Amino acid sequence: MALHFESYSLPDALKENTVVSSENTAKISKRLKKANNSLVKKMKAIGRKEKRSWQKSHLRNSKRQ
Amino acid sequence: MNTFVTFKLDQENINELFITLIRKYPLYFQEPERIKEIIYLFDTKKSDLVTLIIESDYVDRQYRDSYYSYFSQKYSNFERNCIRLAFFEGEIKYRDFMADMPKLKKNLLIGTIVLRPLSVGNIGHSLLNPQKLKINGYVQTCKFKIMICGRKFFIKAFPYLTQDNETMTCAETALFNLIRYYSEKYCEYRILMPSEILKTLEDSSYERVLPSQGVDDPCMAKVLQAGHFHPRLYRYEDEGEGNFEELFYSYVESGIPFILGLPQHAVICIGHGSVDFKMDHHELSEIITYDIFEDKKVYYICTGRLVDEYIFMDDNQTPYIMSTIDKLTIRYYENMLYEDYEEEISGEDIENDLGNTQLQDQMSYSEETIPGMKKQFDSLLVPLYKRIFLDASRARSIFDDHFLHNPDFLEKIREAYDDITWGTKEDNPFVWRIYLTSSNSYKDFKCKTVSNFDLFQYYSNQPYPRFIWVLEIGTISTFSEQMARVEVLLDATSSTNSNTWAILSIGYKGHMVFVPYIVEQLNEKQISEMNLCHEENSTTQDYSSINWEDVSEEVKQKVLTEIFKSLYYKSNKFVGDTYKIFSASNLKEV
Repeated sequence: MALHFESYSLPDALKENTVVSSENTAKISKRLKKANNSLVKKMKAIGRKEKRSWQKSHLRNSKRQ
Repeated sequence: MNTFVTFKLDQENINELFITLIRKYPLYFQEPERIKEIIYLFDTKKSDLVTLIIESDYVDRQYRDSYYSYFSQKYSNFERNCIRLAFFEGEIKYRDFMADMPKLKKNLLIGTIVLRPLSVGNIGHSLLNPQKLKINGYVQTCKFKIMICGRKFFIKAFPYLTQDNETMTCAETALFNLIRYYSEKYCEYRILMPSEILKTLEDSSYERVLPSQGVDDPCMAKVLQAGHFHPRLYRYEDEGEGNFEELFYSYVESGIPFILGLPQHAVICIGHGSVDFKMDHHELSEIITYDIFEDKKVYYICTGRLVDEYIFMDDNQTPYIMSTIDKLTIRYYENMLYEDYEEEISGEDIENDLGNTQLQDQMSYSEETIPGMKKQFDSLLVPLYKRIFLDASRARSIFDDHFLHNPDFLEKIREAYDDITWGTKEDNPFVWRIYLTSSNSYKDFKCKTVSNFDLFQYYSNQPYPRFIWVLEIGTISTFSEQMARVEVLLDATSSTNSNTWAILSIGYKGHMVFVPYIVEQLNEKQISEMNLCHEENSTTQDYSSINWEDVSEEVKQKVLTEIFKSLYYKSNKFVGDTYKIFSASNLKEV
């Protein structure tokens, strides 16, 4: 009997390219730039908060009993 | 030796039983009221009878460890052995354990309680099946093997233990139970015995650790590190009111048990009560929040607001206690004040002078004072797996800025569903929930519940990172049917420096993108474009001429725009209107 191989990959629709007008691209890009800037600031703040939490916990020394 | 006794689950019978037990085993029934409280929790549906099997001379590994590291070194005598109580629903006889055990195969085991020969911390390692207790909600449990009358039984439970106040206070108890749970559930972890916990504490402490005086947050984290966890600490003071509650909820929803730090106390949160998706007892106006974008209000509900109570393992109370962060904070804040007061007037008769109840009656707390208490004491210590680099607060920020608070994205999803009031009217808010899960559980759930072959092909074929953060967005009506509309996945193993902000995939009606594909396509496009620029006449690609730094910079700038461009303007018809919300986490309904 001949062996029959069948392979499955992602739906083709996911791999297709898309053409979008430069006006729409610029609009998306502008919004994302704003979101990115805000996120960079937030991430830095979270990092600072994380450090502060450990530092303060060391200083406070409140035991849980 | 095994002793069998069958009793009725009513007060009179239980009292009678305890009088006999205290007479027979005085050393082991030193806190009878606490044991009774646990028995009153039993919810036996099949019969009002319960069979108790008392196994004397039981060797409990936790107590034996504490015994050799502490109790054996005392002048007074302490017994080495414990007794163990095993409870079964209905009337069980010794002979029922013989041969095939047809009667016992019907899942009649309620649980086991170890009794230590101690006056404080009488109740030792206990395993109780939450399905057989009077609690409603979702809890995390794992499977334990136990031997009763020479036979193997399996029970799904979360370990419970009370503090003996000498070798283990609440912090060590919480750590022991938490690590015990993880070690039983995942092969990456191993159990840390009390003496090993104390050894780790000793290494990072400047004072003696025995008798225990309690443990602070950094030292608790140190123990978790020793157990191969990568803990993350969130203090209420740093996170603030809403944020703290949302972080708390997202970890509970993710099925990760963690430690909640309270005023001079620590408990484990292991689940939550029922979720009022149908909004039967919640007023919309009380749980809704809004934000203003471009002078327009956008309304939201986090599903965490639909949960009233959480389920905790508190060594001062019965197992699987249902409560709230506020109630627990107040309770332990008052305890702390009472202890301070007791110290102040030591030597005087407190009960006669003021009385405990009177002191508590004097205290009533306004909405403003509770955050003050929490700010001073409350914290979350989350034992994350070593490969979860993106924690809840970072994932939440990404979800917020790119999706929940992105007016373009919100407009596009409104358009896709032809639902113009979605999020813009108070009665039709964006309902959302976030959680962390393993991609294996997620893919398995998706493959089980998808509506078409294309989606099945997508979820079954796609390699995912080991852990993912998921954002589900829907409406009140979709969530009431356990459905959502929008799905966004983040790669939890990613870092915040990634070009894509860890976004893995985004999908809603008729639209879907899988980010690694976009990045791959973009890289290929860039390389070929640059190659063409450099050597227009060349017929073969020469990779040595490519400036890789330029490529990477280009990709970085374009990648996010490409993701959203592809999402908004490329249609993928196989993505349906709604999908079933994920319910295959470690949280199991009881």
